[in-house]
Amino acid sequence: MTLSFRRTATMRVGAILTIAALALTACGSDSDGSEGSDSPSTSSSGGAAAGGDYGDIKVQLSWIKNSEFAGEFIADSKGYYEDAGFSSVNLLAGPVAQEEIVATGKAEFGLSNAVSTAAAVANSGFPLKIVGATYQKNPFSILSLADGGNIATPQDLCGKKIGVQDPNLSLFNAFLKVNDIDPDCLTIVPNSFDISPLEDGQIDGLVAYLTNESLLVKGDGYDTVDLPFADNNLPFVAETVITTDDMIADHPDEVKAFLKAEIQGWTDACNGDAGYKEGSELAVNTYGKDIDPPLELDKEIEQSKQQCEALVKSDETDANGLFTMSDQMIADNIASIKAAGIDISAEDLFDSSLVNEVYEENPDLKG
Amino acid sequence: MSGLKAVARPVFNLVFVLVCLVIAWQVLLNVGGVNELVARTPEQVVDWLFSDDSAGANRSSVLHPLWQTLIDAGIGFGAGLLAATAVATATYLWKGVEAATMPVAMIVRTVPLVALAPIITLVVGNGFWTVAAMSGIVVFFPALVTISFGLRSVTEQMVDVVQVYGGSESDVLRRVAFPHALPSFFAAIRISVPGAVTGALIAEFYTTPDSVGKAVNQALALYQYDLVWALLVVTTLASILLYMVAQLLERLVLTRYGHVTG
Repeated sequence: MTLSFRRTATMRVGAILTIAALALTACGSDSDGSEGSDSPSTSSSGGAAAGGDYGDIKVQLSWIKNSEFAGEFIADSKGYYEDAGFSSVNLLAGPVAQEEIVATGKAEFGLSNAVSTAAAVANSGFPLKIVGATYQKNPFSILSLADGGNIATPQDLCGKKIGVQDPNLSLFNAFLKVNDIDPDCLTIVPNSFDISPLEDGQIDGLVAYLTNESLLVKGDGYDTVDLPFADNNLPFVAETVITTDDMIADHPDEVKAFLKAEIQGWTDACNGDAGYKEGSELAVNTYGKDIDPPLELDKEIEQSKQQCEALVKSDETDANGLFTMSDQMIADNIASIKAAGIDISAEDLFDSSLVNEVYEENPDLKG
Repeated sequence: MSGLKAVARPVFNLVFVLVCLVIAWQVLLNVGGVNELVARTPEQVVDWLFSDDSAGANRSSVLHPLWQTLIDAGIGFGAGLLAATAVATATYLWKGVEAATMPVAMIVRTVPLVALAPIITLVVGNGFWTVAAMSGIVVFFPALVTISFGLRSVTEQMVDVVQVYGGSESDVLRRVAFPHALPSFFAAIRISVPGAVTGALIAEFYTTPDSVGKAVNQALALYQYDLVWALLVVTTLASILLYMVAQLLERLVLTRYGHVTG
């Protein structure tokens, strides 16, 4: 009895001390943050924003921690975020409502897609902007089996059973509309992102990610057919970096520092086979090691390769740099978003000035 | 006189419940510190439905799915109550039925509906029968227990009276057991109304038509928080109203049959 009482008492004192210590550190880092000068961030080499101290930030990812975020894992593990002035970056796994997390201040930055962010801005007045785009093309597609639905053109959709997730229903309807497909000619079946109904033949097609479900089904030994939205009149950017209007107005340097680290991370992640392997190993062994069912390295490497070749890099990024968004691309995005039933102007959704400044201030980033 | 009294009480209840709901809503928003980007006050929801520029379109975007959900709930309500009455009658007539059905009913009731739903969809597909099965399950169990209780509370003496006059088993059922179980039957209806709506909402997650269950999901994905809140409010109101109607009906019928209503 006495012993256990003492232990509890000691633990209580310990707890109080810990809390006090935490409070002190919190205060400390707080004042550092507002002053933002005296803490030395040694390894940064010469950029305009170097030496800033932006403290700890959270980044809301759009999906589980697989190699979809290879660039973020590399930026974190190689210290690019630290070099840019962040003491730590907490990557939060999705899928969730990223716009809500960022707009309500639960994370400083988020990764989403142009249609989803446009909906949040247009429908509920969320004060958000897209400041950079990891994927120049969206990875949405209709996935089918070669000896099953075999859906290679939008016209092939007619007479088929298509599995659509509730959150993607409006996107799917927009895809039908821009391709002049009568929604009544096919059957929509509510489905999760589960691929087994497709493999079992319960559905003929599934709204999926080119870089994820498509590879999973292929990995199970099936011949797959993809019908990418981006190549069929519905192009828009995805894995887009979103942040609040306040952040852009009050802390543009922090946004630029974050984009710089992102660009560095993704440059490494897309640096040929070595890069694909590096990012995928981080996903499988470190960041996503608790995912169940476990990630498979071969599939993750294939995903890294595909996303880099087909989505992250394009003729425009070769000329202007990763994450950039040209005026023409923004105009195409606004047209797609309009097809999805959301009316929004380019300047209410996109702010490409910061990513352009990053490249002006760090010309060597283009590599 | 007594009829008027029977009507006055539920109406008073309705007003009381609504006032409590609105107060609780407002208090929760203030205490919970919900971000105003996401939260809507009662006033905002009313504005959106009635005085907004697009109020008409807003109302139809809410009422259309609500109507579908009420149909779905009606299917479940009917299926569940019918099944419960049939099984309860069977248990009253043949004791063996109880031993056969109760364990199954218990299993169905203990497994959460959300976990059961994918299995039901696999068995009956995603259409009418899923709605009937899932919403029906929610209604079935409480209704079965309540109605069985009512039937079993018939005393030996009452049964004897019918039998002494040469009445058959079905006469006992018709003239004594059913009338005697009326209060329990109406209690079952009252409990079942909100249950049927809940069951329908879950079932709609797995079925295709435009319904509240689907509309909420899609509205959330598109950040249409006005629509989400309005759907929740209208569905809750519909549930409460239907409950009150059931209560009213109960009072009117029981008063007529000479049961004492509290």
